[in-house]
Amino acid sequence: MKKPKNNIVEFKNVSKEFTSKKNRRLAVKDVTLEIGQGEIFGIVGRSGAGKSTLIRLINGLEKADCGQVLVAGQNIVNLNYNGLKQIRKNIGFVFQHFNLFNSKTVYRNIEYPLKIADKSSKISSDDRKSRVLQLLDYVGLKEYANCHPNSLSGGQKQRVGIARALATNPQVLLADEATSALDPETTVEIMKLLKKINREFGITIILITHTISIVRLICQRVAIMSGGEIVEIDTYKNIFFNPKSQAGKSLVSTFRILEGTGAVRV
Amino acid sequence: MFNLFWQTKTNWSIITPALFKAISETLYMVSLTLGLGGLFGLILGCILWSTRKDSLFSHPVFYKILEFLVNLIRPIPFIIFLSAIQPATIAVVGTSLGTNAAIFPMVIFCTMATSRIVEQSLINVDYGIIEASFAMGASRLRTLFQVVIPEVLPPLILGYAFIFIAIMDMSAMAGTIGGGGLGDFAIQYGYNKFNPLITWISVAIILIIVQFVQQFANFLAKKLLRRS
Repeated sequence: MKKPKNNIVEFKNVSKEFTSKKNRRLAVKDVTLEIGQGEIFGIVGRSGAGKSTLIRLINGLEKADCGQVLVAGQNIVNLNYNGLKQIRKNIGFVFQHFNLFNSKTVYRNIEYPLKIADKSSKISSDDRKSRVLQLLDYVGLKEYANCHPNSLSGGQKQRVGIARALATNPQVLLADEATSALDPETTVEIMKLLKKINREFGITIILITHTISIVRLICQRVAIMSGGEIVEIDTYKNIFFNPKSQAGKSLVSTFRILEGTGAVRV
Repeated sequence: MFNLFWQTKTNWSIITPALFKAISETLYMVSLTLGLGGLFGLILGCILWSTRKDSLFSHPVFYKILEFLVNLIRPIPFIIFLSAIQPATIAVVGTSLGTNAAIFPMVIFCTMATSRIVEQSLINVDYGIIEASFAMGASRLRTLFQVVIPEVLPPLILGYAFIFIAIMDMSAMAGTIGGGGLGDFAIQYGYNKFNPLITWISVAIILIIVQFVQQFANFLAKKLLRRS
């Protein structure tokens, strides 16, 4: 599958460095990348490869040191708070550890982003209520509206996380290891849900993971990251059957070993 | 010798009104101090926490200065602090004697102690939820008030119960500057008049007040914890 024509997210020679007293670490090195509207794009790499930093550059949780990050054509690198607020309304974020607010009910968790967006777009409280209920229904948690997140299972928590990320009708959904804390069956369920969201709402999904088995489930195109650089971008099939980069080969062979189809036994 | 104590006649017609006056003075001092000092302490604690490195309004130099001030006052024994701050008390309250004069240093001391407890509670907040709030476009202040503080409410309530006991302790010393209260009552009518019964009555009343507050705080914190 080829990349769609319209880019929703674009990186142009982006670098990001973390400095502390002791050392400097280049987390993202000169990345240039185009992600098309409506894609499910996977970013794969080992821990510390810079994947998390890369997607945090998209909604401004991290600020690029140089280069441009374009979201829907707008460079977000030097935006002030109000600019970022508008951009963030348009980008949902799903976290590995869910990051739900334990002091709020499931309902209030999903309502929170709507309240933030409220000032500018003037959503009435009735609209807000129907939106939250609609989202709860969509992720299959209608009867859990008044529960607190701690009483939910991991999969249910992530469904709340996804509903919360979708609340403001974003164009882009970022998923940072969204299923790493979940068991395989729940992982498949969540991936199905993401695929459904992509198909029904046309939301672009960018998901990062350290296992190639996740991208195999739903991604169309995949980028492989290693040491802060993107070493390979291709369709899922090409990468899986014919990886060109060292990091890609390593990821695929590890996957085969874990699946039991590899040549080596651990 | 011990028998001597019991031979002391207790004149209830004097003691009873004095006791009720002492109780009301203690409750007045403690509740006002808890209210004002607790509020200022909450604000100061939030400022301390949010100016820490990598926090919401990170400003390491400002934090260091503030932390230094808090640490400067906290270790002073309260009874010495009472007299050390006398000029400021006169300037603010108008007098350095009496119940109101005692409340001023109590509020300052309570603010410092509360700020530390608030800061310690806030430190335990998972950064993930702060990041989640930011990712949804929330401002830093909204994140502080609507996400961070609600999240630490149970430990905060227990922290305030702890502070309450410290305030009871302080209020007993207020007697030395004419602040009245149960501490003063115990010394005046119990210790000075060799009447331990009076002292024990004040101890019992203080214990009842403290237990009541502690149990209430435990109940509230548990209720909040169970839901979260």
